[in-house]
Amino acid sequence: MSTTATSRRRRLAAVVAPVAAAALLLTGCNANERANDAAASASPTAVERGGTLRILTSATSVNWDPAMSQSLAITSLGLVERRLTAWKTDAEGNTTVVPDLATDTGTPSEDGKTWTFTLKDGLAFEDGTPITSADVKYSVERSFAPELSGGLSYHKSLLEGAEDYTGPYQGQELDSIETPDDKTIVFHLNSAYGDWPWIVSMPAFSAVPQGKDDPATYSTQPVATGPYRVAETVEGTSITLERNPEWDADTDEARAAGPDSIVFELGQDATVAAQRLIADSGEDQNAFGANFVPAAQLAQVQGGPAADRLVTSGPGALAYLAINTQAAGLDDVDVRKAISLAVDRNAYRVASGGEIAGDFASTLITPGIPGREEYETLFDDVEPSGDPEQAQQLLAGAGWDGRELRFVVKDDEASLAQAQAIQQGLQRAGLKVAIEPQADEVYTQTVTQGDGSGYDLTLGSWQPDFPSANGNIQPLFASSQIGGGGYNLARYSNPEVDDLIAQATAETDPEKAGTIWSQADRTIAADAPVVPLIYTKNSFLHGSKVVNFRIPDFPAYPNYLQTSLEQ
Amino acid sequence: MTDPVFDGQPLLTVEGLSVVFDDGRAPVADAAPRAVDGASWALRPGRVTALVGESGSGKSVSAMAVLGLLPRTARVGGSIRLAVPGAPAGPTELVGAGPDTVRGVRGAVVSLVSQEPMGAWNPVLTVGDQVAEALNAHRARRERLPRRAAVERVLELLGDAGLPDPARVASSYPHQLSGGQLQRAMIAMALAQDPVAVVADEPTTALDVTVQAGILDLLRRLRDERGTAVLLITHDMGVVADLADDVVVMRAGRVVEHAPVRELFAAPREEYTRALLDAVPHLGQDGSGADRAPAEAAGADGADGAPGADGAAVVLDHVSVVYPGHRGTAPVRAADDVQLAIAPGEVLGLVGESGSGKSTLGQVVSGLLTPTSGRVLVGGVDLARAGRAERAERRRHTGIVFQDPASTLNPRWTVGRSIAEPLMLHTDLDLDARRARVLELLELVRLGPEHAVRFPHELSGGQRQRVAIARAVALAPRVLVADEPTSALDVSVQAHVLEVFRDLQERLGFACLFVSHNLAVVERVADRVAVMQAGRIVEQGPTAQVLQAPRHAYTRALVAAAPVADPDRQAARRTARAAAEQVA
Amino acid sequence: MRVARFLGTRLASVVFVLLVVSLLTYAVFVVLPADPAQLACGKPCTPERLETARAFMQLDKSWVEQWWDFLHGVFAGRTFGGSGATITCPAPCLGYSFRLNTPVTELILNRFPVTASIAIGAAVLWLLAGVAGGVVAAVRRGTALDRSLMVGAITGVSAPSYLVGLLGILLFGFTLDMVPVSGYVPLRESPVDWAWHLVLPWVVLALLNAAIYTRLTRAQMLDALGSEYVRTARAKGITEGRVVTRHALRNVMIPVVTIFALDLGALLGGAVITEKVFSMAGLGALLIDAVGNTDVPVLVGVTVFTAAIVVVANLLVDVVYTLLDPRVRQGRVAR
Repeated sequence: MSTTATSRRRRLAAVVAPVAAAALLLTGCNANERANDAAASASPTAVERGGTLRILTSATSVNWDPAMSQSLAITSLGLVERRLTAWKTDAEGNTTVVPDLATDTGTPSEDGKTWTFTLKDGLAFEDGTPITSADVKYSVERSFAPELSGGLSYHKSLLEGAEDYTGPYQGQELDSIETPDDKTIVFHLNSAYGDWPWIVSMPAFSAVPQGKDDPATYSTQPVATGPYRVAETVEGTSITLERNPEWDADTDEARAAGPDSIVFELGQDATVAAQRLIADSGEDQNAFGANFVPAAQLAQVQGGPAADRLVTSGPGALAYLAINTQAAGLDDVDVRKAISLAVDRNAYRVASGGEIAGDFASTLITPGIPGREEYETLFDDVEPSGDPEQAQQLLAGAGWDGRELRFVVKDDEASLAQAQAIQQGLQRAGLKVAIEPQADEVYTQTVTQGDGSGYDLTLGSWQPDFPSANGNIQPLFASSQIGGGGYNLARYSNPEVDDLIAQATAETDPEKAGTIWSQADRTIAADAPVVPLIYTKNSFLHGSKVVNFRIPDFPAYPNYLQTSLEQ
Repeated sequence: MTDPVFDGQPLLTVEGLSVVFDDGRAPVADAAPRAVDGASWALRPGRVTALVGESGSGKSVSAMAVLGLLPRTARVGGSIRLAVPGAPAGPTELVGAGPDTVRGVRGAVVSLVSQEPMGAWNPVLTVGDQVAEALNAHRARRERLPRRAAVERVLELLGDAGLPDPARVASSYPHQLSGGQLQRAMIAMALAQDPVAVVADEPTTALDVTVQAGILDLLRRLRDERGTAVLLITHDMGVVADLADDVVVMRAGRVVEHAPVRELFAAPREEYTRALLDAVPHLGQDGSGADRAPAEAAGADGADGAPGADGAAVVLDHVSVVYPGHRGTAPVRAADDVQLAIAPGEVLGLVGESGSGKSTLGQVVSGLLTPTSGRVLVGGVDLARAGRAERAERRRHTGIVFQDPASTLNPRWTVGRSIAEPLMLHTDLDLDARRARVLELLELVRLGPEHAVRFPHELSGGQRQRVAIARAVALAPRVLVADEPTSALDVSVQAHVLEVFRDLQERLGFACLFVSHNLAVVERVADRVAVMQAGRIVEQGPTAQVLQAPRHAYTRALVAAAPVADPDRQAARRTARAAAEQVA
Repeated sequence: MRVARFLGTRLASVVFVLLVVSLLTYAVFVVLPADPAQLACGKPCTPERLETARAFMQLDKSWVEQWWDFLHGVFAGRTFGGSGATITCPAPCLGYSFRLNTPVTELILNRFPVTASIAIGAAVLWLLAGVAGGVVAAVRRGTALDRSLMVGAITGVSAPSYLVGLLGILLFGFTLDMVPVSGYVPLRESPVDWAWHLVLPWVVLALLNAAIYTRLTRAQMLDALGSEYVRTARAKGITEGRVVTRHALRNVMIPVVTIFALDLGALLGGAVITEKVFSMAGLGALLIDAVGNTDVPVLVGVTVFTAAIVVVANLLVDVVYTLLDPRVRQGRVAR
């Protein structure tokens, strides 16, 4: 799953519910085509330099501290902070991992447990100090400090001996990170991990100079390594980035760095921001919206002059119905298949906003992820509206006791509408469903913590944090992710799947890993712990002078690093 | 500007004045009832002309028409001509005159003294400021009196109005002054622009008798010394007798009789005038309660204030009520060591001026207020020590009648329901029995059975008060507390209600504490009278004895100040009082 | 001194109210099942890391202890963390936002000028407009002007502020392109830009709130114009204008100012919707943001601060009341 580009604010919302803002639209045209058109028309041109790019966001702050950020590699933080690796998106929509601070995407040892990176020559912080491997090590170490919490933490359980490490502020070092010289950094992992090159594209693998680290202020005054530095912050109102003279374009293949400066306009009402972008006057011609376009404005845009400035992503996050496989009776795979067949996926999509809300989902690995393979699913011969008769037969065969299912959802309008669509579909097969709306925080608690006794069904939505099938499968279906804050909402536990996950994770050859991931995908689908509903799509608006504003196949967010202005 | 010379020319000539209130409800304005219907009278310089009549007679509306102070909805017809002596332009027609003309008259030529002293003053401005404002009301900006001169003139005016400490009064806010002080200041303000006429709208109604006399003296001095014409609006024949030179009697918007004051009192031409005069209770009137029988035994018993052990209906034994001080003000002793007894079947009149504590005592007897110290025995039971049940029992044997019946009757209940309420609460009577009892009670207060289904707003003030009395006696109480039961009523109505009350008391035989500021009313109904001043009972005894031969100086002052509806007697009393004051 | 004693008791009650508010806020947020540490746990979150985060944020203490720490912090400041790197929150510390890495006091000080700019400007505008409208309606009672003012007032009272704000932005910001649609410029940076950016929010808020004042003023004014003291004033022969302003209006202003001070106090606690629509980073926006992120320290701090403003507004009402109404000033005479 992914967070919104500039904000952690909606993080909980995005975790386990379909992205609401994208959900309420109706459109006659095929959004998938549109995304491709947009991509095609904006074919790569020479980067135009200059101007002030404005980013309108509802977020009220941007946390620049790499230890605390969940920012995607291609959004805000990527403008200021380079990591060992970066994401490069091309006009065809492909996203690849490319070297950033490092000279390559890492060299694994034979057993895949040790990864070595070498830093490029001539890299420097904004103050001219050369960047050394110690700065990268320090950056990773400080991500373990309790003072600096809330960031992406995938590496924390992968690095050897990190369980009890609490950061560098008390003088301790993390021994599993070695810096034999100023250019080399070596990571020792608990086990083989083939997607390590993606992991080191996360914010924690930036470079932080120990001498300039004040944990209380780093989130607003970071030391830049990317093409921009933070010039001015008006709390809650705006952040201005200006060029970092020490950044050298020749060392960076991920960033175009077109605009001379970038201004984040914070706390923008999504509706007003969309109106400004539609009006496209003055400075707003140089702006784009970081939030999804609200439904009303989306309808307004259709067919209007702003239509060609609307960019809709391809299929993105997987929206699904999770069936609690540990709940009474639901441990029977036939019951789960019956539920899967009874679901009216068409009604769900209508409740989510219709066709532009997304395409019907099939595989658990989302489109755009390497290794994804289509396979024969339960739904291939079934109408999107489901097959209640077959479901009824399955239920009868399984001896379903007919108890009422507790369907826990978040207490907001969009979730409730979607839940009702599901409920009505299931009722056609004689399944009794009681919807239990819960407040955000309570909901998260119910589904991600404890023993899961509080629900039978729930809605989820997931986009991986890095474009690897690993990010699709492991967080949602590994038995280690049941409760304790994990997102295995189906509480699905299958030793065979766990084994496949372990194998694929350890595989350092992406090709081979992909095959295993696809196998895991099929295996899980056969057990029907979740019902794939749709792959959601996101829509964004930009001003008329904004160019190279593209959404890759993954993630379903615009690449800030390539966006520039027409001069 | 004032010309004391009486040139025979009326200052104000009102001819065929009519006023209709067009509240938008009547389909045609003419269809609405006329508040004033073709009234004609005149006000002459240096004379006091009284407009008298009962409520709704149109006397106040006529007066306000002169000043153009009627509400927007009023439609005024006829003629009001103002002829200022010595004014070159000749008479001014005020009906239909433009706002500037009317404003030019207000204050400068004709000014106003209102009834309610507290309400007539702006609460957020000092009295001095408000008087000073009158000084400058008709001056252009650059002609305004300089501040210092204005202050001096204000103090002079206040001093002339008989206020002993003008500086303090001027710097005070209205709520800091007494009603009498405010009314004197009001007269001072009315005179600020040296008007030829003053409209005095019930100038003493809200005041105590002793204060009232002073205000009337002040108005008289105005006429005598300055030659100011006074248009006096009042319902009080005593005030008329005291002050007026000419009297205009109004009834239902029409002028019934117009005569010089002596002529009117001596030989009223009209039946209505006569009835009005007859209805005025006055001291020493025939048929007063002084010689009524049941008084004797109890009177003897209670005269020395000893608590009657031998079955007095009510005994107050060393009763004090103290209201605690509030933010630094001293505590108030509303009742101070009161010794009082009421025998069964006896009516005790409790008289005194406002603030004397008489209403407080009424509340103590009716059980609404627990005294700070002392004992209250009702029917031999000490209310403070009685159990819950016994107290409730006492309470049901105590009836209460308040001054304003309109506010004590539920406007959404029929009269029958209001009367039946205590029966429902305290008796086991079934519906039919209750209905019968309600009709019986209505008959007792001389109301027909048809009144049972009416609502309070469909009744007149006197009828409402009779309903309140019927309700108070519904449970056949042994004690009745009547707190100023007739003060809000017109004299003719008052007379009728008092008659009903006396009759009822004789038939039902309850003991009664009758609280009133009006000595004449008390004389009519009470067997004995207690006089209260500043929380203390200064004198008590049989009615005749107390009112006709008062022993205490305060009682004497009260009796002397009570106006008598007879101009000659009133003049004589005035002279006597003045002499007494000089001696003192 | 009576005044000193009066102020003393009032201040004591203010402190008491704030104590209760802070205690209740703590109780409420702690009773809620939401776990602020969850947010600080990172992603993916393991139970061990959740525990570490809880300990660091001092959430492992009981809510009474947390409340006590909060109170202590207000006077003495607070320090989070153990021996190594620590985060200090200097007194008066109203809490520390781990999400924003900022002491709550600092956040409030940053945000308050924005909210105050919106609130005070709008309040002055609506007080003037509302009272003027009410006076005119009352003086011209029953005329077409009165009726149209009253219809406008009813519309204003019932209009949803978010919608009016958006319409205002669409009309004046986009269609007519007269005023900026969002953003806040600090007063000391450029007073002209400050006012220019605030014009629309002021007008929108004033439009909505003036309605209440128009109705209140009209009703009170009609009462006053029908009163005895106004009759007395007229009888003196002073001009109608003076009757209205000096006599009637002065009395009308007593209840109006009372409500005004309370309204302003409430608005100073955050003009939530206005701030959202006009994208201004005020207290309201901060609060909404904190609610969305279970940022308990900010929630508590802002709630207590807001409560303090409301309580102080109440205190001011009493003082203003005393100034306006001599009857209160001298204390009523006990009867």
